[in-house]
Amino acid sequence: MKGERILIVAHGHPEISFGGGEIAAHAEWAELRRRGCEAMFVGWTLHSAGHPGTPFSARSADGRELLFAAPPVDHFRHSQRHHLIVYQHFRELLERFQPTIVHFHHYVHMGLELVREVRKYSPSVRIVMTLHEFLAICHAQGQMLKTNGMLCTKASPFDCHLCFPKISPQDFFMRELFVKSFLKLVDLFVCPSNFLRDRYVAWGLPAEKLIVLENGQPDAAALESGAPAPALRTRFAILGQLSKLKGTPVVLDAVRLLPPEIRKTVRIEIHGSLQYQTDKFKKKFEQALEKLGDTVKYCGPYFRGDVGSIVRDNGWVIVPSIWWENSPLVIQEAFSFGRPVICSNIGGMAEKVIDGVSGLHFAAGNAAALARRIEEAATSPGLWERLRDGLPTPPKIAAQTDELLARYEAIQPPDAAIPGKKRTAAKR
Amino acid sequence: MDTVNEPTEAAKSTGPIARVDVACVRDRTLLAYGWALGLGSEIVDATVTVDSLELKLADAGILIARPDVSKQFAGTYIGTDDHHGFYLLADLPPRAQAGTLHLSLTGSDGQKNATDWPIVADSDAVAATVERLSTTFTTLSRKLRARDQRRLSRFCRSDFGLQEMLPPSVKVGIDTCCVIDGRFLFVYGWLQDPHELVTELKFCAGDTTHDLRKSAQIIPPPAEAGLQTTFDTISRRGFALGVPLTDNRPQYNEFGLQIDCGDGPVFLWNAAVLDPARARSQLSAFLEQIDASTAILIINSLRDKTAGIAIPESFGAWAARQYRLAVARLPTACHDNDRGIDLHIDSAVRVGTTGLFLNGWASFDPRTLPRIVCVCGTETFDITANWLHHRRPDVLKHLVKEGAPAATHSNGFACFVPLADGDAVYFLEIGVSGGEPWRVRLEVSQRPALAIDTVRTILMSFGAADWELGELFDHHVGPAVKAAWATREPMGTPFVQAFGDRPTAPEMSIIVPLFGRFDLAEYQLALFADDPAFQANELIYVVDDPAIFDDVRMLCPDLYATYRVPFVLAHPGSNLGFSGANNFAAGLARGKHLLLMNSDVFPKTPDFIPKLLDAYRAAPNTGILGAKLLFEDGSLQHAGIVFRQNPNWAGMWVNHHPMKGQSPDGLTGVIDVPAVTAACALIDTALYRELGGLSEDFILGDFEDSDLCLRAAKSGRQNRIAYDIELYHLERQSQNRIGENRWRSNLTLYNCWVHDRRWSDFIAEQST
Repeated sequence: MKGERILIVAHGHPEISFGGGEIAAHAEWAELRRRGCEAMFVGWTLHSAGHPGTPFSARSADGRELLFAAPPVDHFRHSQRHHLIVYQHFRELLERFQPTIVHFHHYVHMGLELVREVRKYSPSVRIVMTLHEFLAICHAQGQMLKTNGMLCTKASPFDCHLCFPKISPQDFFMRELFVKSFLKLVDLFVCPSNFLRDRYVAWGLPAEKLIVLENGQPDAAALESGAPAPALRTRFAILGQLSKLKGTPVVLDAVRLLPPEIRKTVRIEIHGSLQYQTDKFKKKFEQALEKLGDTVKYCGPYFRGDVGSIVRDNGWVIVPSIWWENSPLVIQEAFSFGRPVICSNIGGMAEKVIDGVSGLHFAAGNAAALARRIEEAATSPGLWERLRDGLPTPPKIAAQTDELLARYEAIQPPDAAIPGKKRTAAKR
Repeated sequence: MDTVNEPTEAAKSTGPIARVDVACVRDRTLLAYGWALGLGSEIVDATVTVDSLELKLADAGILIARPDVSKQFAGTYIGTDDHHGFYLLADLPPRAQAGTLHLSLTGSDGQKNATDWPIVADSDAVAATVERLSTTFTTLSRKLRARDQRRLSRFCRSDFGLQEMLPPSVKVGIDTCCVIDGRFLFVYGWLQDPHELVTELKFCAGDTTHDLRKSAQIIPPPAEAGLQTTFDTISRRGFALGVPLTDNRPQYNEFGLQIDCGDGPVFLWNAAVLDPARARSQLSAFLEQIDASTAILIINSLRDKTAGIAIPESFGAWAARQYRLAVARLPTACHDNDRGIDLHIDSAVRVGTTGLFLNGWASFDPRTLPRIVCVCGTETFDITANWLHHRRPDVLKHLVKEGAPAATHSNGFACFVPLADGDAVYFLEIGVSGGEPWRVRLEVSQRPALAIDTVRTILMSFGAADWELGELFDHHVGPAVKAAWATREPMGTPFVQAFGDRPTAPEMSIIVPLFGRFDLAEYQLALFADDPAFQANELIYVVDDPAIFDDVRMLCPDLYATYRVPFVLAHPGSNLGFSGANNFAAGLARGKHLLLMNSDVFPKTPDFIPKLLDAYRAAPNTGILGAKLLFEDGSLQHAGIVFRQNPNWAGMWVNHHPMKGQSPDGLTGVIDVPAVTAACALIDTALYRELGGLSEDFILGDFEDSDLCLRAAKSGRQNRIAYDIELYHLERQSQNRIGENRWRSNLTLYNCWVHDRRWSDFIAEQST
């Protein structure tokens, strides 16, 4: 990829806002830099460094890692209301760095107008976008989970209006037209799961522009737990944000439904943050924990570097989300550290974990079903060993970067077919 | 000053003995009261001299029996006549020096006596003297003839309690008596005379008397309670007298009532307020005290009677103010259970300078057939001959609850009242036979409203379902709204600014009005951004809503910088409505063709502009060309307009959109249609101007498109629709801000009515 200049724009910096998407975007940049590529990382941040007259601030001395304090956007149509930030400040960034490839890891918080600005800057810059959830399709935080709690399979202006009665079907339709007017400028969409790709294709993005590429994982030290298999079999871990969407209440309910003798046998560790939850949620969580006694242990937030040891101290990882998920990082991490996963039987989770091969499925949101799975996992001799042996090897970051660079190169921009129009990083 | 009178020179013992008890001057009238022993008998000459005035007591004075004097001089006086006393009231000549009264007496024996007496002239001293002798004068007044009694009353400014001399059933009173601006006497009083004993009732001003039975206005008891006195209201009759003063001496305060009950006239002096400022303020205060209805009658009468006389101009303004104040005190509704009259005004809307639109309800006992007239200044309009009724279930419910007889379900009414007189106030007179009318004030806002607000108030005042719609619109709502709309603000200072390069002679100018939701422009620009046709043609955003203009103007540089679609921002400076905005923009347009486009119309594919132009040019003699419009779900929003009569709307022709909501499948080609929507309508610019553009008689936006199409058709053109060109039309998104359903639907009704009255014959002709 000689001569390419790659700009990676992400909706956050993983050292500031910890999330799968941010981690993947930053990891890609780090890998490109490791290889000596001209790559720049721009991560959105809520808090400004306070430099007057610019939304940017430096995260590294060489200026290849920036924070971007874009002002708040219109979260209905993901439009940057301070247009100047886009056509002046972001434009200057483009003109200064002169990218040949711009890879958006998201547009949330920053605004879809960034995409058009890149295309205005040059018709030949290749625009790539990694899709993380269904935010373009769905106003309910992109979860495709209806506001009445039912899973949603297809957005339509009328159905979306039923979720948000104050917003008219026509507004939802205009939102769709608006969002698509920017997404049509993207040359390649990267989807971390088939499930997510299928949803976007069904929504109307051209199938030929959407590829599936799993986020790569860093190389993990090949550690094995000292604990013997029979002990690991009764130990379960839950990692990540604790919330209704992430299925935290489902786990607590499931433990309550376990037969008493099983409750005495199993140990369930919950690792994660309650920081964004309501007081009501926190209170209910604490009350539930109190009733469940020693069976469940809440360990609080964890440091990212400790994921390996947390996973390895337990035999199973539970992923109980009640929404579809795309490609949860925690599944990749469980697999990396050799642990089967018990997860909801929907969406990206069901795609990544094969029931009976690399883990166990239970009906999403069904605490009784999860309880049965926990009991089965803790009491079935040989099950854990069989599933552990069936785990896939998650793709490594280096391999994924090779794949991505090949995909970049293969992009045919829309104007490539026009005779006489040269593909250059022409500036206006 | 010592009020006990002493002669300036000791009475000479040689002549007749005399004494002047009182000599005083007030308003150039001399009053003298005293005695001379033997005045009625032995004294042959008694002369009073003041300066040049010389009066014989025998002619000018009045002799009074003074037995007390006889008694006092019992030793020296041997006569039998007790008439020693005298009383004299005489006008002094102009410029007379009234310092001393000279009394000269000549006895039958030829003996003379002359004495000088000081005259009291200081007004306070005169008042004190009169007061001191009030008992004497009261007694005296009862003995005097009417004329003399009157003069004494005036001098003493007292009626001496002479009311007592009237029969007990007769009571009379003056509430106010004043001289306005020195020129006009106004008296308001009352008489209670249940047995009709009074044979004469006059008001005296100086030497002029006015027979109240002939010249006063008799004011019957007011319809509403609220009298200022507690007398029996039935036998009580108020009277008001207003006459120009011809007497040039109003300053002497010679006013009073003369009443005769068959026993001879009795004069009841009454103080009048002479000072112009005090007279007005007293009259104002009086008018505020009495019931408003009576006040209105009095003020009207005052204005009539002062019409011909020279009175300061400020009187007119004062009277106008009093009139407004009186009207303002009228009740706003009329309820009289006894007579079965109930009237309530829900709204009275000032309609430009043309009149009022009334909306309310009334309930009458069927046996009373009141006549209601609206009064505005000097003009009246008969409501009951013009109003239109409709059902008011809410009123019926209220009446049933109140136990009132509900003779009809149609208690509601509306009426257009074509009366206007500047900022004049309005009231209704509800007249029933044999009684004074009720007066009910109309609460009309004095503040001039925006035309659209007036239209809105009128259109919000009724529900369409319960009416004879044709009649309602032809006679009431129609003329009212038309007149209100005609007062709309003229175009303000126009604003035109180009963002990006403006083409000099484009094929097409696309005109998009913005009202309320200007975010729609950004949605459109996001879709126009990649369409080359928008670089070659002219896009005009015309802001029809002054409320959003500043925000739009601020946003435009950003929109251009973001999307790089050149456009012109235009604003006529005021809200001209959909038609006016389009016409304003069409006046600026440089394109050979105009595409009228709504802000909630979005292209389905980016090639619609060249396609529309091709279709327009290809079909011969095209008037207006429309496109197939779709809702967001892909169903048909518009496939042309046909006209149908709506039986629910009094058979008026309405715009029907065939196949709306159905599948668009199978509609192809360019088809002749009677009309198309202006949401997306292409027209040759010259033709648009030839036809005069969109008619601005339609309010906000409705029917002006079919009206334009009908004008094109009438001029021999053919309107068409291109089914192969598809756009989305998220109908009414741009009109969300217009608000409530009733307003919206009644506005449609109005526009429909305008359209129908203009085109029903032509449409009928075309459809046969």
